[in-house]
Amino acid sequence: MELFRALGSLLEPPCAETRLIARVLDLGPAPDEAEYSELFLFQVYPYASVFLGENGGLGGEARDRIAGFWRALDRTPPKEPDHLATLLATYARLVEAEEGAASPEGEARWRQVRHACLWEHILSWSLPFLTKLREIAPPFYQGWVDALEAALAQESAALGPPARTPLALRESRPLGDPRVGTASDFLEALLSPVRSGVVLTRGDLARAARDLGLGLRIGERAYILRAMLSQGAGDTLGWLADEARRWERLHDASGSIAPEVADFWVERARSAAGLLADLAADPVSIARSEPAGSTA
Amino acid sequence: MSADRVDPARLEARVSAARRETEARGETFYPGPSRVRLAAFPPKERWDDWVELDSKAWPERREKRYMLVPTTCFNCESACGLLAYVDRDTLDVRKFEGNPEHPGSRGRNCAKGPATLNQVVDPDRILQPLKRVGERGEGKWAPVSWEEALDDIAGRIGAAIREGRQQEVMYHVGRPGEDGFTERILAAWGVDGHNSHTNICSSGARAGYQFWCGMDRPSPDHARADAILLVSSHLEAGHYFNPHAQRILEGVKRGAKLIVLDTRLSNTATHAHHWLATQPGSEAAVLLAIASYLIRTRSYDRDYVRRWFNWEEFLEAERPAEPRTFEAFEEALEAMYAEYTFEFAAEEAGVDAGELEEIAAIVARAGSRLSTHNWRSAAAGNEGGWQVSRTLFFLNALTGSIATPGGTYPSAWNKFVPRPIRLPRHPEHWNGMTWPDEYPLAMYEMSFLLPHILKEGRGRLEVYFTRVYNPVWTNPDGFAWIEALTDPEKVGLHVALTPTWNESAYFADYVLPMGHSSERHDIHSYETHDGQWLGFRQPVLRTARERLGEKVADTRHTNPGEVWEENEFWLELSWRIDPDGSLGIRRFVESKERPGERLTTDEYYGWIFENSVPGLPEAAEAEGLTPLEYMRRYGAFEVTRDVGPLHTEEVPAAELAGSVEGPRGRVYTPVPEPVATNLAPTAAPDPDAEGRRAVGVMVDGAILRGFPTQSGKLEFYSPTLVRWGWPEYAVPTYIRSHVHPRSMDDDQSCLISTFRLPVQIHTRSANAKWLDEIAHTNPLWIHPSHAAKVGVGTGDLVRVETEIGHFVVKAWVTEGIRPGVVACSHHMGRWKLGKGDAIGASSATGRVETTGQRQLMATVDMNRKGDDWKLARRRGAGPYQSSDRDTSRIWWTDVGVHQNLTFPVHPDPISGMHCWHQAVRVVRAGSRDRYGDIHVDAERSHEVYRRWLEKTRAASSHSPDGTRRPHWLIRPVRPVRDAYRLDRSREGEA
Repeated sequence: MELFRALGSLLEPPCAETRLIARVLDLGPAPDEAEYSELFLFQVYPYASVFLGENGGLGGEARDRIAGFWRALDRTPPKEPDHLATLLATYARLVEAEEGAASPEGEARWRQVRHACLWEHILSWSLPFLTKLREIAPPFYQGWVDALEAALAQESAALGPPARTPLALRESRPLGDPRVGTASDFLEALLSPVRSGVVLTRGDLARAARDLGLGLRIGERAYILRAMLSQGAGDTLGWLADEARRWERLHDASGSIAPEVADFWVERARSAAGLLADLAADPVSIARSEPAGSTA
Repeated sequence: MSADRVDPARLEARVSAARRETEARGETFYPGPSRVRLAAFPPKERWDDWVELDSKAWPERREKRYMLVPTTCFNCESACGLLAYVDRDTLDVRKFEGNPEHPGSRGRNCAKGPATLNQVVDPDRILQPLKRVGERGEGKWAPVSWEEALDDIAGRIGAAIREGRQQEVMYHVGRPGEDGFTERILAAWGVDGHNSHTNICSSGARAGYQFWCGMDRPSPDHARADAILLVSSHLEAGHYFNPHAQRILEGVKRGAKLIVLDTRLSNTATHAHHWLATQPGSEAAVLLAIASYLIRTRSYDRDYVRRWFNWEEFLEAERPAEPRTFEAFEEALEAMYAEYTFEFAAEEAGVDAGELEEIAAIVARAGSRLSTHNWRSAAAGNEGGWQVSRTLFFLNALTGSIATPGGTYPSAWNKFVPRPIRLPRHPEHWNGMTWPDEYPLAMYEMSFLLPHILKEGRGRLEVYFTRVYNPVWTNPDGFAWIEALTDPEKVGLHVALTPTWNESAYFADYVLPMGHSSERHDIHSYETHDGQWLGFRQPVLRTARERLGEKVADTRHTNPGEVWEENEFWLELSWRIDPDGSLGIRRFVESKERPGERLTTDEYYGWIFENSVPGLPEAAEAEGLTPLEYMRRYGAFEVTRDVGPLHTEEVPAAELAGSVEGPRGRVYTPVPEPVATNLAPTAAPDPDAEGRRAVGVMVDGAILRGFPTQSGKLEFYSPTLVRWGWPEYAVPTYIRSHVHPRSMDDDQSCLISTFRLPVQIHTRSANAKWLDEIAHTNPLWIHPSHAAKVGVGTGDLVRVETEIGHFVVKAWVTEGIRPGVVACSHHMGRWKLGKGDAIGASSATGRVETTGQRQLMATVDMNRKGDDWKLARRRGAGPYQSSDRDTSRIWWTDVGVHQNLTFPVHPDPISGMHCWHQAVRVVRAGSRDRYGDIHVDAERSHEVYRRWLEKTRAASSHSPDGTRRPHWLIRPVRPVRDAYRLDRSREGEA
């Protein structure tokens, strides 16, 4: 399963080795360090915990769950077990373990582990990640997205669907109504793809501010969003509702690779769109409940 | 391209083909940071020409080209791999990072590794050989040539050897260099003059391990453990801390429980699942309570205990009326340890009995996946501290977690010491100054007693080397050392081999500059995990020049100034001691390739790598390199991994021809021992009466290799201790420390003085500016309740009164220490005598005046009136102009207090270990007390020495066989067997 490992290595900062791999994969001119940083350090983060966590941040239970997968295999989890490069390399190792198993029982056991890794830890979140990447990345990474989507499609077809929706999705809470819950939880949930069904980058928020004529305050995403809501809650919520409806369509379009997972994401975005539309029609002052200077 | 047009199978094939092709060229296909690997390292095929952007040129993108040359760190003993970044334009070392090819450290370093750069460019380092021109200690020096120094020293040593005064030549080592190198040099001279720092360091722990298994260090497999039990601070500063700490963290990430016994809230304790802040000295009681739990709940590995404990020998000697059955032993075992209840241990240790039970259950559940470690800590602090490691290893023995995955290995099985090109003879005399009659069971030389032994007139020294060692500062009772070193009747010539100024070098006759880690050769191997590896320390600028095509025959040609390396120095000195070969020394340092010429380091290491390291020639050949070229390129080689339980290996039939089975299954053979390439030190069990060597032990009908003990088994019962006069310690037990509350007055506290700071290492690191900025003082840790009684707050001065004097230090009030215990860290309190501030040759006189290192040394006045010694701080550190602009930015003045001066010697009567903990009184400083004040009464210090001497049981009165020491125990530079005899002429004994 060399391809997974090779694609994973391209999620690392560009260097001589990755340029060679890019050439082998026919991905065109490799990006420079600045393009890499803009994409993966400032816009879309290739970590499962960012997509599956409660607040759209790094680490936490979402990362621990993947670390636990390593521990269950009696292996020491790496420092960033939920980075997509790690997950792809891990998957490649599992495939090799299956191929190298000494007995049919061993082979079946490794296949089961491989199945869990693919569905629970990779496919559960990577399709929205890839969708976003396709939208904003330079051509090199668009080619990379195509290659990885094709490889994932091949694997999901080969291993068959999961018996249940992945645990991280099953156990995630949807976007909560700020009229019932807290404003800060609402903000965090908006930035958590698994809860809102929406992937919001800094670039997205800048675009929204520009389109809505709001001032863009530079900072963490939660800070930017809170500042926008404080300036124009109705407009911002309306924009978010539109964005959720757009993501509903995007999730639906990516459904062919993993329909069992795509259904979940479609539903999350649809439900968020409904709530956000309600809120936009009757904007609550969620931004007033906490000072704009605090960050989520 | 879009996803539906991509053919993954085709891409897979292309990537696989490209990878195979790239790796076939010996190059790296995937970048270092695959995130399932460690981190980013320069691929090794680009080490000759590595390009980085020059950070100082930012924002301009200016490229800098480096040659990356591996070496081995020389700060602590871990021997972690370093990569020196040698600037290709200037051939200067610009930085040090980790060597990813090193199997022990795996590319990771602590702060001390990269700070090697500070040591290399230190403006205060010693760059030329110096000879004293004033009185010893006066601080006046003249440059001297290496030739002159070598001839003088060699002449004196040669004369001593010719006149039968071999015992007057002594080498005292601090930071170890190459395994066994200097021991072999001394043996070649026929001199039993090795003197190590070990008895102020690790003898206590070594004793506990050696009495069990004939090997004197633990090698825990932390990464695979289910429970990690540390009597130390391994995650920050303990022995081999970087290689072990990274594996402890791996184990914890895997789910292992971390249990730490430490009186202080160390960084390690903060990471523990269970932290026991035990009363100092109570650790063995805690460990025996866990053992007792395992025994009474029958949760120990019965089959392992039955097979590997010498329980039959125990029953035979201690329970002669009992049947010789394992069941009878189990009953005896339970009865013996029944008194060690959790409640008893809790009372002794001042911890919660319930938590002890929880910990015992964790240990029981871990079974064969219990990794443990103790090295200094409690074993080095307490009288009877050797029982800490003995009772700790008892837990491994009970759980069968010895040499198992996740368990604890004996050191020698995880260490590789290659056979050298020449092995010299054993010395024929016994040195009674280092191995005195009173300490027949001491694990190492009684080094720290030397001033008292000299004072008693037991001998004198003609030539005394201190080698990267600083006894005046490091040892207890430093004024006794100054007294000895300034008396030419006691010490004829003191030669300090050191890279930097230190408190002992001030009292030398020659100060000879030796290289740092990037300026010298050594090979190293340490027990960092279940594997064997060999690390190569090398002078990196020499190697860099050789890569560029130059031929370098002498490391001095590429080192800074006239800095040399020790191995070339010792070879040359040996050559000169015996100029005509009549002493039989020259042949041990003679070239095999060019008879009549001296051995070179290239030939020496080339021979070892070619002939003594299994697998290395093949690995080198695969890359088109010679073995020496391979080691110069990569700096390390993994000899083997997953060594496993060697004691369970069956002895090959070829070794058993004519063998006989002795008592209790010990098997002896007349077949000579096969020539071993690995000379890792182990004990040497005695042969039988017919001279046949102990080759194995019968276990359940099979002859297995066993342990290098007299019985071949794990010696739960130590017949050695019984026969040499200590029957009360026949089995692992608890000895109440000299700082047990019962032994102290109500107004006394225990002072812990040995703990390290994560970024410093003894006095080695004092000239590393980055480290000094981080850690430069040593306040007294004191609990708030204790501080309230004394009436002090943080920053107030306290006077700490020991048995022989006092020191004045600042208080640090913290809940991170047990109430009633105080602690003051190691490393600090460095000083130089106030002799002026110039360093460098005076143009008028040609003499050199020095005040030593200036970043971490206070300037002091030292005064002596009879037996009354005082040290008073004149000023602390401060900014100064030098070749390094950073020295003008030094912002700290406080460099701590030299507490060790006020400690008397406390030699443990069995292990010989100096028992560091002190019973002290802590009082608020008086109006005349000043920070850093030291006062010592030398007469009292000698009285304390005499008092501890009375605890001993001397060989002359307790030896069971007329020898000075059990021959089977490990001993550096082991003399010939005849020299062990007490009735041999005292000639040669001081």
